[in-house]
Amino acid sequence: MAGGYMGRSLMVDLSSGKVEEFCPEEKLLRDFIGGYGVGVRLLYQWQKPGTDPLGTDNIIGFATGPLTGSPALVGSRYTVVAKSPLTGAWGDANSGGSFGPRLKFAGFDAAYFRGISEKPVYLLLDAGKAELKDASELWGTDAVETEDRLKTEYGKGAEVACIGPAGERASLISAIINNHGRAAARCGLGAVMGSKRLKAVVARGNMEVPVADKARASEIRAKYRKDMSGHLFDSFSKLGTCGSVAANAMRGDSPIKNWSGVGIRDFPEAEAISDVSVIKYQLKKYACYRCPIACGGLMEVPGGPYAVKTGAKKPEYETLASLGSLCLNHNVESIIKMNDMCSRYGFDTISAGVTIAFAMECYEKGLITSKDTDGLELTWGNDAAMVALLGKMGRGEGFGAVLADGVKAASQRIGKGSEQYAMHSQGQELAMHDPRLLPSYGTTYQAGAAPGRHTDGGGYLQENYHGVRGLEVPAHDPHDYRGKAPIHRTMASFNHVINSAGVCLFSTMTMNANSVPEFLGAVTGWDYNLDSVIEAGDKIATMRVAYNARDGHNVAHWKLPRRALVGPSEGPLAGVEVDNETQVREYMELMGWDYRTGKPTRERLLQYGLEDVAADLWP
Amino acid sequence: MAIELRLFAHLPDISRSRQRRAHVPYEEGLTVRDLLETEGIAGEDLAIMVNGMHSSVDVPLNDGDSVFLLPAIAGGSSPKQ
Repeated sequence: MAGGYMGRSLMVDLSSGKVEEFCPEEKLLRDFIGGYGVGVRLLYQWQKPGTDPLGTDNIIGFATGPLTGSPALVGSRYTVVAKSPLTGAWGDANSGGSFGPRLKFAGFDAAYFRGISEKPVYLLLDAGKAELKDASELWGTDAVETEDRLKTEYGKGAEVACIGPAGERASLISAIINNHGRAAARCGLGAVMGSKRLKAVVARGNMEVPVADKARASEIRAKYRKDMSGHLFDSFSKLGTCGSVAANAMRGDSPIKNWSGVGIRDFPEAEAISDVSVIKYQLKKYACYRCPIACGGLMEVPGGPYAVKTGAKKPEYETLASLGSLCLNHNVESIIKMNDMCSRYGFDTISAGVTIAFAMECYEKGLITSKDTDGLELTWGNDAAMVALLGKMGRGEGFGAVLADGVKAASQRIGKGSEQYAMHSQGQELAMHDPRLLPSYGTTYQAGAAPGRHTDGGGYLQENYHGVRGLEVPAHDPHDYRGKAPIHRTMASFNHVINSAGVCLFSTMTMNANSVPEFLGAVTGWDYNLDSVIEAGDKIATMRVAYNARDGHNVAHWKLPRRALVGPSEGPLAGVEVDNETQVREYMELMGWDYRTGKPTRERLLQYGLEDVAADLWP
Repeated sequence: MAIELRLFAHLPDISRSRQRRAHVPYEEGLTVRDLLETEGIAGEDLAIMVNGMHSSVDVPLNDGDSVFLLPAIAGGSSPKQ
């Protein structure tokens, strides 16, 4: 077995209670790295097309990568994989903190679950042993308290990934929470846990992650630790992601007023929810496992209507934008409160904010009134109404139940033409970056197998003009929509390997890209270079598309809302019209994905050694 | 009248004025580059907005203009108008 892998993975059948151990073959690990790369290959083999995401046949996996818990810098991540109940397509969600490394230290690379348990359970992974335990007394408990109670039982060294009440009720925008607020949030995978009555996974142990060349790994860590510098490192380290909220609102990266507004005109108060306005509530910094950046923070709002207990997590940029700029809410204490509520209920903060913004626009347009909203006046920027509404969503009561499955379901329930205000791609709420400023987000939002995401990588890393050091791509005018596919392919495929290896995305913003193959080589003992890493990313991207294509999905048909592509009449995005069709078509053609059917071509699948997939898709 | 200058995110920490907002006396031919040099941040990777629109360092400013300086972390290219 190569270094970086514990060599043991689990399949837990929740219907029977049977726990089986397996180890993916070496070629699969080498080709697909880990995380969602290995996850999508396995789920494709294990599942049939047409699987009900909330049914007994869906499989949910908690998967690490070879760099998770290794000497690699920022190797803190794990990925949850399953068919998404939010999109009906491939789903994955990624989280940091210390759960991923602890899963490895407990002796396992991954734990997968199928079936449905009769009663609530959690899986205890304890120094190489695995046991299903009764979670009946934890059911109904919020995610922060669930973690506290399990840590009381198993000690502070134990780490917990769990769902809150939103996931228990199978809310389609529910998240999986670890470390009191780190979230594997996207794709509604908390609902898959809830549907299986799986409350938590607990990992405990201090087993060593094998490293092929320890001396080399230490040397590389020291080299790239020195390399971590510059204004992005300083900004992330000092402020975290909240540093960019006001700037992004002003220049047109953050969507404003449910994507209908202009920051400088409609949200001049943006600085009230940005950088120092947030940091003043931070008691101390918080770092994921062995991370020198430490972008997180522990907060306190000591009193007032939005008081939160000491230790609540600092809201990220995405949260401040979705529950702030998008809703014209400039009350920062209310956002810290709602961030903590989302951690406790187990909601994706992006999806929650987008859904509330949608409801506010429906209210403004008269599609709903206070009679529909249980008396709440959902006017723009009404922070008190937002907090009350989020509480209703978390409890699944009244108008909150209308919104608790995200913006697509809410628009279907409200009707009256409200779909035009529902900002999603294939059901998933769009992240807080605007393709009208950074057009390659349009490609990622539409053509990512798990759509609507800001973490799948792509040409926007270059359009964001800091690029990725060491990853050479040609200069290209972002608003020249032809000829961008090679840039998008390089950066998206590189990104897929980062995610699958268990490394934080901030590695791309603070380190040279060569750190990835160098760490992979030293830890696994296999040879990697930038080209082979990008080729592995190509395979992972193609496998995710194949998973969807077998279910009849064609990303060419996953259209984005007009507002995400066509600029308003004034402001910095005026006059922009993103030709997303060209961007997506050229990217698909370069990747070997047939634009007409959405399937990877037979030739490309055979080139990747995926004969079984080729036979399925091209019988 | 004067030029309104606003510095975002961590820029006040690395600028000479240490201010988030400042008013700079207007002079004929003044450009954003002059403001950057005065603030000691000419080498930074920045996006520039003048009166709410994307701009560049060498465009001459007019009296009363509003200049936003945004660090690269904010991201973004200038859309074609």
